[in-house]
Amino acid sequence: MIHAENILICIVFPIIISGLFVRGNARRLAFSFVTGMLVCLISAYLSGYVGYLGVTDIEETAIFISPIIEEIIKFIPLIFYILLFEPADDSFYVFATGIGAGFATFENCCYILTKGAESLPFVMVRGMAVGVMHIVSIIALASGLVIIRRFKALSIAGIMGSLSMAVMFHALYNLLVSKAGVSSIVGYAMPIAAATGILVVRKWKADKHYIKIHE
Amino acid sequence: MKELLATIEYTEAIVQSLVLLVLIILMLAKADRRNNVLLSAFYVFGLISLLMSDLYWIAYSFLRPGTRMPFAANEIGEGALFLLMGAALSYAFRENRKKAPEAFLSVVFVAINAALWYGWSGELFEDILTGVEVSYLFFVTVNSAKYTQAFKRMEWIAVGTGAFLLAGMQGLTFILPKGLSFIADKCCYVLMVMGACFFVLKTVNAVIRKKASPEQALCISWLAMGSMTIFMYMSAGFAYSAFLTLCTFSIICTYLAVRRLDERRAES
Repeated sequence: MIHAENILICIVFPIIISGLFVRGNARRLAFSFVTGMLVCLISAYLSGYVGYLGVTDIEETAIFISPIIEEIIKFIPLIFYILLFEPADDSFYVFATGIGAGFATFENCCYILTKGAESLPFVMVRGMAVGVMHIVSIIALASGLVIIRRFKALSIAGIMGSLSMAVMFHALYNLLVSKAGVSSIVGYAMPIAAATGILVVRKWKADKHYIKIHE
Repeated sequence: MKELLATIEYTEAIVQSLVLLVLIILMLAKADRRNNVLLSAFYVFGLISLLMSDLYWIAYSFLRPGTRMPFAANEIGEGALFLLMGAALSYAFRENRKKAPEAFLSVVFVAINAALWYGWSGELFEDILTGVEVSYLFFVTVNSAKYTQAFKRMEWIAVGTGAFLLAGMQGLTFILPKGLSFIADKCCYVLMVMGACFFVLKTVNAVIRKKASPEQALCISWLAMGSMTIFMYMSAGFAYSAFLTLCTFSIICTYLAVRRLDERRAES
């Protein structure tokens, strides 16, 4: 057993203090990173509680219930931020990325402390698959929210639809990596492939915008 | 027989996934030239959700065959499809403020369906959740169809009567003795086949033969997709596979309708 709260305190203090020395998006990233870690701890509590209720066993909870709980808990600070602070699109993406990165980092820390970090391939897979997956799912969610806000279409249906999309991505990943073999390789490759796809589309859009301005 | 049915279902799910992938690529390829950005965005998100739902179902069937799904996560993807498609249509016709009585009747129809799903599956929470999502899709679609006058008065009466007759018959299968219940069940299939034929013909006329305006074609294809989904949920075995195929066909028609509306708005 590890003391996740103690680990959280140990990691967040330097980040909070460093956040006080910087401004703008750097500070936003620092505090959203801390929020992401806090959110990870809360979702671990909730998933543990569902497991404790005995509705599903530990493996089933990890595969089927965790994606739903984790994505909903990650979504809460995001929706609060967009509704209360009405940030610019870039600032919102910074905040969302921070939450995803904080969540993934804290989850990886706890996982490695539990399972050990002797195997480099295991650590690489952990970092490049699960870590990236949390960022991709929250970027997808943030993109959905940015689009519907841009067109003044913030509705329950649109928000819930975007959230469901993020949950499905996470659930599919968890299911694929739950069994060793080809499916787990596909699962581990999925987040990196999706992240590459999103980056290519964003770069392509930015280039088009640049060309349009200079024409 | 069981193996054949399973093979057909896998094949259909894979075909639907491939169709969805092609449609998503086509939508994204021309994303910067779209005139209905919000409609297109919601529509693409909906297609992506359904694609992930299909992939989840296929992966689950291969990785954990014969095991009970503790929580049908793929239904979240289907739910997202209903919500996003509903949202897409509601923003396509956002100037429409009227609420048609037929739209409220469609919600009643879906509520009866949700009760039937509970009768078949016993999953109260999931059935209520799916019922709310499908109700939203039907409410928006029927309201938009009334607004664009996509159906004639007689067609509304026929569709409405057929829908409630179907729901009533399905309800009877729970209370009638075995022999009569069997007959009621077969009558339901006859009604569903008639409904499916009506929607396929109407969609082909509106979308492919272009005998309706782009706005009407959009509503008709949306309603066809929703109806095929309801028929799928009401059937089993080979009938389920047939309605799944028709559902894939109606999804292709929704893409064609979105494209037509886009072209029309670009011209104007």
